[in-house]
Amino acid sequence: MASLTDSQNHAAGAQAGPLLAITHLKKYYGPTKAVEDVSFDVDRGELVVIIGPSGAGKSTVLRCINRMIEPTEGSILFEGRDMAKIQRESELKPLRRRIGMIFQSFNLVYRLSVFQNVLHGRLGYLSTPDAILGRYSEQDKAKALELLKVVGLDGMAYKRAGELSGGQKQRVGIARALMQDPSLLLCDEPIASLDPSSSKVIMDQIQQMAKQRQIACVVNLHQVDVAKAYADRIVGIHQGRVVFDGPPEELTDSMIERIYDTPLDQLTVHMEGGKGNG
Amino acid sequence: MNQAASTAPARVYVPQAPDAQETGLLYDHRGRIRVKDPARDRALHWFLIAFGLLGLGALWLLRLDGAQLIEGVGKIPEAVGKLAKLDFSQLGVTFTSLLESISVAILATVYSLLGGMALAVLLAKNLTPFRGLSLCLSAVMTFLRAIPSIIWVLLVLVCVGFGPEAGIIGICIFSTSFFARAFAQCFEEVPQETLEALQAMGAGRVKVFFAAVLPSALTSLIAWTSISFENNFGASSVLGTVGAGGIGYVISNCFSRYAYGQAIVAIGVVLLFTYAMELAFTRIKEKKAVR
Amino acid sequence: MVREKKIPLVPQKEKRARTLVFLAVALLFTVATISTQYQPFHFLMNMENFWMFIWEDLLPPKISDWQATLEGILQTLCMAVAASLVSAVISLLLAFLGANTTAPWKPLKKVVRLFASVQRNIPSMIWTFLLIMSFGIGNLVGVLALLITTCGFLIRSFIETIDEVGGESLEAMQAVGAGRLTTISQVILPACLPGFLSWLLYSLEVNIRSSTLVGAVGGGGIGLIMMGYIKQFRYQSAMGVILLIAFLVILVDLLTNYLRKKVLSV
Repeated sequence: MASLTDSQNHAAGAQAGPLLAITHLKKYYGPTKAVEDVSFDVDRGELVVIIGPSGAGKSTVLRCINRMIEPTEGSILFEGRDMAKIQRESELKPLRRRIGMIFQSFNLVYRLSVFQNVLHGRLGYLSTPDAILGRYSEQDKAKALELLKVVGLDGMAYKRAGELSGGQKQRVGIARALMQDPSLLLCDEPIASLDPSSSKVIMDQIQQMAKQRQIACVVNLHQVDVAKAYADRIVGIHQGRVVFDGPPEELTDSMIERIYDTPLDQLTVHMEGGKGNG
Repeated sequence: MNQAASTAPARVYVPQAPDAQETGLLYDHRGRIRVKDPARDRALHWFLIAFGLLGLGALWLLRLDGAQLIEGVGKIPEAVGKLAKLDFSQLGVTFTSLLESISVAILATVYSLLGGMALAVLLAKNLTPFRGLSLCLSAVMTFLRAIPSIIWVLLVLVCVGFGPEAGIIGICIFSTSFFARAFAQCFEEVPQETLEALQAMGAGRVKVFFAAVLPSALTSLIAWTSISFENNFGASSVLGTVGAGGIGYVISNCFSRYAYGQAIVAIGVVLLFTYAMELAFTRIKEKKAVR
Repeated sequence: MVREKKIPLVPQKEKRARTLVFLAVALLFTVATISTQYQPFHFLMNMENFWMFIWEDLLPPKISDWQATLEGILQTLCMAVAASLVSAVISLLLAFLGANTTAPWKPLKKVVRLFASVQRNIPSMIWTFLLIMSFGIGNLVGVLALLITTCGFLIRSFIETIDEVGGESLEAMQAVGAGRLTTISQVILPACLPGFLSWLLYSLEVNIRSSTLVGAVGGGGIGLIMMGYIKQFRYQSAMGVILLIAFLVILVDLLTNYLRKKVLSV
């Protein structure tokens, strides 16, 4: 029953404002400033892409949102609660399970079946003994199978995750994140280790989830062309600061140069390589 | 629909028609969907069960005396008390015999390294001049390796008499075959294309060995050498307990004289040395890995 | 031939390191040779002594007392298997306390690692001596001595295996909101199982060898019988036992290799 009241609360909180509101987020590692000053909002069903050169702090921002990294300063309002202020682990977990995450290197357990990996998304909801023993309800299993169908891995439930191709692994990752019934999906470079055609499938699926299930998505990307093709809004980060926040049409070439600190003609080789994606 | 997940016991769930053929799903005996294919881990599970049973059977067969165990545990404080009366009077002898043990380990490692390298060339399938020789040698090596080095020392001791020589030769016998096997494996891992490329350029067998095989296997050679040295020191430090020299002799001598305070000092010295060695080798390995 | 400009094949630094290592080994070798006064050719020159010993004293091997010998072998085997099993169970629990990714409490992690280090850095034969002080002679001491060194070894190996699973899958579990115990049972344990079993098999191989040695100094089993023959100068009987030991060791090695290929490669 706990989860029922949970989601009612969330629904109530959601009507007040944006699903996620980050204001003046800072993260310092000693003297190094990973994130200097980042603020942006994300609404339900909105797909926000964060772009920026490697080392600009994209990953850190993403991980601060679900508190896998402790932010130094600032507030992260998610469903009306400030993630940055929560101290106790027991308060953090119910919020974390509302935030799905997709990783660059998939982060699956390769020895386990695809089915088990997808069901892992449910672990945050199970009671402790059930979770330790891996006792999932039949409803959860049915949902997992349905999700596998949605991501196009029908009939692969009993394969080991390690036997799949890169693109298929990432689809398991998406199914696992959706298993959490998230209202927010964080995607950390979801297509960085995939070939162009798998990248397109993955980005299409992420976009579809955002629109059909009204899930807010925050996606880190380093391919500007992919970002332009899929994003509802783009946030450009340069040296830990937001330097651009607007719809893809407003992202001018000079803006891209500013974000990446590199003349455009030096970026084009990179971008042409990714053209097939969009 | 998922909200009830944590409250609804799975048991109540009515099995759907298990149309396994159609959906490709597997069901357990209660009609619940399986989350993994049990056939995949079957071998592993059997192995675990078999090993567990074997171990329990072994414990039962040993007929360990429970009373003896409890009594012994009760005596531990007393034993610790005896050991705690540290006695540094034999420290000089302890150090000279530690030095002897270390020397034995070093010499055995160096000689067996050279011998093992030579034998490995004959043993490695991609380098050996004769296949038959490789097979024969491999069988002999397996035999030599099957007998612990201490037993070899015991046998050599009978011929050459008390002293470090028996230790060196005995450990060498084991360690040479250990090196030969390990090095042969390293050499076999050198890709065949590399060898062919060099042979095509007209390099002879010996040249190929020194130009290609040795350098590409170097890292693992170093790793094997460190393992072997650790093993050899382990052996040479306990040689004394079976009648050869070294620190083991000091330790077993102390025990037979009931000079526990001296024994624990000697054991502490061994412990410090092996611990330092382990740290050093770990450090080297980490450094290599970073590169 | 102009020798002035020699192009270095390997980086200067590495070359220097190699020379240094070589010199150090040469130095150690010299010191060791002097301190032990070992002459490598002395033994090779006096080989006839050695051959005489082998042909006249050792061969042909014989088994003087089949029943005692087989009992000894069985006992040694049981000691090794039992020690491996019990120490695997103990090490599994302690390894989770000592691994970087699962340790609940930092100081405890250090304690576990130090404990394991002491256990494995004292040879099993010396543990036997220490244990005899309170437990007396017998196979109980043998099992305990093997148990201690195997634990020390397995704890370290298990810790390494657990830490190799790495942050990635753990990160995913953190994001899902799963607890520590859940992460261990659902992610780390399944991912590590083959690694654990492989180490367990290795420990069994090692234990088969060392259980004969532990036996020789008072731990019971075949080692004690062999040591008895040698002390009584009954070398032919000793050789028979040694051959049996070799046979046993080879058999176990073959079996573990087979299991590794069949069971753990999946």
